[in-house]
Amino acid sequence: MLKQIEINTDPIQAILKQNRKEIKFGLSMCAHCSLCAESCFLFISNGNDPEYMPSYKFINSIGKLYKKKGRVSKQVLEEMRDLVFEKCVLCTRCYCPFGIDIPSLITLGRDVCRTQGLFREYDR
Amino acid sequence: MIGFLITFIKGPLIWISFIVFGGGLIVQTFRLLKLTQKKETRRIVPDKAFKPPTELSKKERFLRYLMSQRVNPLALNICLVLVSFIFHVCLIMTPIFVLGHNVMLDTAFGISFFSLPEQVTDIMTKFVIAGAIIFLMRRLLLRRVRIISTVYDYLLLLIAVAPFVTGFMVFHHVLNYNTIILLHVLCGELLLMMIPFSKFFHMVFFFISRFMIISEHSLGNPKRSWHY
Amino acid sequence: MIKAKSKPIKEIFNYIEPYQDVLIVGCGGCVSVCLAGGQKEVNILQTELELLRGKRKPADQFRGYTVERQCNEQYLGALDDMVETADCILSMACGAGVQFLAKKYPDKPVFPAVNTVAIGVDLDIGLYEEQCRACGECVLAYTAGICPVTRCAKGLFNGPCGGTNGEKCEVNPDLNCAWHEIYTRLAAQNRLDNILEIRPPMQWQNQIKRTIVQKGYEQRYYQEEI
Repeated sequence: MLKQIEINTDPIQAILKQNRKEIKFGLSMCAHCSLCAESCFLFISNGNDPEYMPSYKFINSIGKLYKKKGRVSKQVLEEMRDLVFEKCVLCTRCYCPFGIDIPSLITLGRDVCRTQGLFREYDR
Repeated sequence: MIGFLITFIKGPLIWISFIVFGGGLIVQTFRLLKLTQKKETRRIVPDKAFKPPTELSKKERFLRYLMSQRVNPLALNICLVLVSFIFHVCLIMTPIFVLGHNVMLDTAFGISFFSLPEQVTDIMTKFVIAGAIIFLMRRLLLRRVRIISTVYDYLLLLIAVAPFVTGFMVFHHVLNYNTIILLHVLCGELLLMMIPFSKFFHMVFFFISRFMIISEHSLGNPKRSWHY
Repeated sequence: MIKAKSKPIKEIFNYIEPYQDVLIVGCGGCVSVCLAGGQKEVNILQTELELLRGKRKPADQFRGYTVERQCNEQYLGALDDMVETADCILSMACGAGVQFLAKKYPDKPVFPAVNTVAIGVDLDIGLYEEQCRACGECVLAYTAGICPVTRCAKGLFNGPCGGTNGEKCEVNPDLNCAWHEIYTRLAAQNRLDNILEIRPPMQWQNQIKRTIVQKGYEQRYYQEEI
């Protein structure tokens, strides 16, 4: 039997609470215009795969956590890990026409994953 | 009852919407500015090896300008930038300079803005509607936009363009004039009241975050930074 | 991380002058973070070279591509086909990346498009400062976290020297004496015994701390009028 690993929501909620205003402004200002896409070199070098779009990455990591108040399953968090660690190298070069600080939002997504022992495994 | 609603929409609600719009903008701008702080630019002594460029040719000056603005010439989506620019300029300018609004201002207060010819505002309205259709098509057809689109995005686009569609119908007397003008006023009020409290707040957010906050993509000479 | 600075465009242009089809390879790692060799810089360089070359050789071709990291072979696979048809490669990565590409594609000339300067920290956007010279013998433990190799103009391990001028360095009066800072900080932490012992010297050239101002940011950061 696989042991179901529980998610500890306390550190997640602490991160969400501490950065509430930033996350809220980022999410509420994003007009879902997709103009950030071309600024991501991973988007270009992966055949314009929309999952590499900076806005997609922060909406579906920290944005998702914010909307669900940190209550997510391990599986969802593992998908998030792939999104913020494998599909982003945090080169901090995302362009947003409104000036949303996308890299710092993705960093928060990474912080959340690290509190649950999820990070990029280079020796995998 | 319906008569009361009509007078309410055409009277007090206009005032309420302007007060909500103005007050909301001030409150939200203040809240946003509280998230930023002044940051002093660090000044350093130039390297001795640094030689200022002498006698630049026109081409070199242009290249230098591109570099200093850090413009990304190849990734710039010129068409979309142009469509978006025209859409936004017309969106803001049309309601301010349209003759009908100014006539109302004039009869009420005896003051008014300079008015553009009605043919011009008609074309501007058409631009707004065309822009909205292009945005809608992008949202429907491009996978990268669709993947992050929600119902709310379509709703916002509808709310933004509704006053222009109804205004266009009013101007050309399409359908029942009195019903449409009531709808036009209502849509306009809704849009005004929503601006400070929805994604439409990017009307202010854009200028603060791009012109006042230091980042790689900032414009002008910003002096502030985020502090969360 | 590693900080680099773009080379003068004329210098780059001279390298690629004899070649027709030029492949510009960016790197999404350190050089992207310090605004020297990311995708945006690849695009800018491509435009600059196209403008410089003008209509003289219309058959010339520039292509740009950015890989995740040039210092790891795992990420270079996508380049193979592009390199096949290219006449030369212009790498915007650090020295390590340039050498790695040159080794992987030995039959193609590989040129650097940036000067790799230092291991440093971000002071501001486009403003970086050297902190580490990667000497491989870290002494920060007993120098209060201030690197004498990088910060002392003479790279002294047993300082300060006789040339210290109060708090300033004799090499450059704008420079703080690293050993004065080491002493002050250690004294505040009550750890002065750390520097009483004589440490064996390393053979380093005299170098002072370098600061990198990214191209286009001179006006903002330089005190003097350019």
